[in-house]
Amino acid sequence: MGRSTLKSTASRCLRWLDDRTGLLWVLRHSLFHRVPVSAKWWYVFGSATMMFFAVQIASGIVLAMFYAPSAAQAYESLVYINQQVPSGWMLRAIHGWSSNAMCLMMLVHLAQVFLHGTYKYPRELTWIFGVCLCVLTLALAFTGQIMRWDADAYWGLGIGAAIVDRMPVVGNALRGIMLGGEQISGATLSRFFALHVFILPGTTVALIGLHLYSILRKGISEMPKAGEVVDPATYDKAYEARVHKTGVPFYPDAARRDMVFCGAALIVLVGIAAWYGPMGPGALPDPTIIEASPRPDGLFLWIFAALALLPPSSETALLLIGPPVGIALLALLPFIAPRGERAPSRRPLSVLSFGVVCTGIGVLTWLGMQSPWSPVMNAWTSTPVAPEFVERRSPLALQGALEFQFAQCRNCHAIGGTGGMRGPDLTEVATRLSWDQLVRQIQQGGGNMPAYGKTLSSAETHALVAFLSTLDGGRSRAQIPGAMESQSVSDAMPTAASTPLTSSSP
Amino acid sequence: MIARAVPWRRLLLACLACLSVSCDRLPGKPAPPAATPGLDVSTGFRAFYAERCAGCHGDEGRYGPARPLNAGIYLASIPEDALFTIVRDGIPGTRMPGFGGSSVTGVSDEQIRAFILGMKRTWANPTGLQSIVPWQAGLSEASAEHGATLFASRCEFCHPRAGNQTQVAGAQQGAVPRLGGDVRDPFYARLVSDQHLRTSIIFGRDDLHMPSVRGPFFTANGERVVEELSVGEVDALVAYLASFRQASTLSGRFEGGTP
Repeated sequence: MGRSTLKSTASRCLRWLDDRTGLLWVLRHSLFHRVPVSAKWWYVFGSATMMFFAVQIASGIVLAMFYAPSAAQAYESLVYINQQVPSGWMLRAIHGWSSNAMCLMMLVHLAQVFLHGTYKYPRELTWIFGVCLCVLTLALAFTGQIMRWDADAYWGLGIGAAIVDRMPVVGNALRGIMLGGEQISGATLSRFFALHVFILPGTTVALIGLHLYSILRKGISEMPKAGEVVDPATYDKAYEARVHKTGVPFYPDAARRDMVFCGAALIVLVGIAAWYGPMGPGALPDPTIIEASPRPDGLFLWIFAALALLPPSSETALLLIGPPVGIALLALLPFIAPRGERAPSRRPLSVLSFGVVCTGIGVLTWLGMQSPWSPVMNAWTSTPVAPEFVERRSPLALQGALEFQFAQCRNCHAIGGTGGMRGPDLTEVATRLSWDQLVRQIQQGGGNMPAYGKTLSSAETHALVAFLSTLDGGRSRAQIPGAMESQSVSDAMPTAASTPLTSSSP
Repeated sequence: MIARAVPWRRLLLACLACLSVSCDRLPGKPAPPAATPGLDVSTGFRAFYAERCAGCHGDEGRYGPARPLNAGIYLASIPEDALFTIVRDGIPGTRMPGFGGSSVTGVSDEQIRAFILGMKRTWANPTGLQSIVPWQAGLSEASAEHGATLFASRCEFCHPRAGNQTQVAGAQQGAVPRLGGDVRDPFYARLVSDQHLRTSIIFGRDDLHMPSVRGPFFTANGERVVEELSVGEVDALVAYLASFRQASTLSGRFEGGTP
């Protein structure tokens, strides 16, 4: 068969396909539709988001061939992928990091669209599809984290289930649906696997199609200019006229920028994946290990921090009302502000609210990384009492220091800068609280502190207070053992401010 | 100048080939999951110690509120089986938790034995072990009155009654600082077992300047005395200190003897 015959056969096949499907028309229209000439590098983030999604689909399909979505085998199959499958760890790394990259690009894209006022008339539907995609992307990232089936995933699920359970009336039933039963089990993993691999990606693909279709239908917005006001009565005609007159075809003009940016982003992704490797799996999930300190992936740290910092009384309301209202407000933005200026310089309120949200998320993420509200669960066994708090203490105070460790006070309270940060630092507690106040605080609790009155015997409390009373930051030299005045058995304990009793040492 | 076309495709293929060949040598390749850490090596022992013991027994086994473990003769004196029971099951009624078996941290018996071996190899020092008083109580009937006399002549100088700030002659001469603190506090007596008192008297606390059973001690006048306490004298001191427990519930609970 000659070369020309082959060509003509291929051409005939294509024509047949085009005739039956209209595919070529769609392709031609997509590739060569005219875009505003001002659409330059600001417009690459959406394409990069989609590129990372494509990377995830491709790597996810290969990973699904090795991953065993059963509670007994999931963890081992990940270790198998990391260790045995050729370049398997790299594939996991690319899958995980591209998820982060996709979220990052999506947020940048969202911020750009918001700041440039692109959501205004006539691109309301494009924006709404975008907001839905945003939620789906975050859901993909969260369900992906569950796939690791390690301690973080286990406890993260537990917290998620507890949040769902708080919903009035339907909460309990929803939790059952979410977990596939009363507790986290193999059924839970199967559910989340189905979500992560079928339901969410399928919905995302469909929404991406709708998002792109609406972009093609209403066009890419121009760069905003101060003074160029969006007026629904005149916008369409003016836009079409401008694009017709000065616009350039999407391919190769705009597409070239997309390709350059996506290529560079891909190289950076592979570099990060090669250097930092895959995420997890961390420690094995074990419900008997209460010393786990679960922490979500970076993207969700701010939510983790917000949940931890919410006042307990408002928690349920804010948890259940906050997210739906926030997402609904975001989605309805084009209907709240459909017209007017698009330039950020003329929309101070939008820029300000954007700044506030970014700062809030940034600060909460930083707090989430520090998580000062989380007790340091192993501080009682692994954080030593510094020698300066042991030397020159009476045997009773040393027993108190032991009690301080054994009762796990150290997990929430630091001494000398080490220990938990949930409660106040006790390095100088004796300068703030008297003996009686210390006894009351330990026995009755208060603030966020539980009461230990029923847990500690009177001798244990006495020893603990004797130790705490020596923590005065070295202001007095009262820490000489034997200096602590204590009555035989009476309740009238001396206060920390009692006269310092010094030794004969200089 | 002749512009040479860059062979992009070949370059890309070469890059991909390099990447796939060297994939397992890249820094991101995760290490194989760690097997049960070998605790018989020094580093393994130290990691175990730092995670589970340092909180109470102090960094490097010294200066903690609990008994120092970096104490040569003490470690050499206590049989491995006794140490094993203590680490695995803890000492009931005291602040020493168990780390093995059914405990939350669930360390295996093998790991505990390896840990004890590592600790003994690193810190135990049997020099002079033969002459030391047995760590467990004997069967002799000890007299608290005898203990009181001994206490006054050997211990009181460093362990005065709380609030008793009368300076004795020796102290004024700067013989030794009175650092021990009151051990006749009823609350203290209730919190510790006879065995704890006995262990403290026999082995002392080198890190906090408390002498062992071998002294040196100081008389009530602050004069230095270098002599070793006998088994009976240790028993008498324990009986005397235990008498401060008053309505104690602990006195009979440690007859098995745990250090």
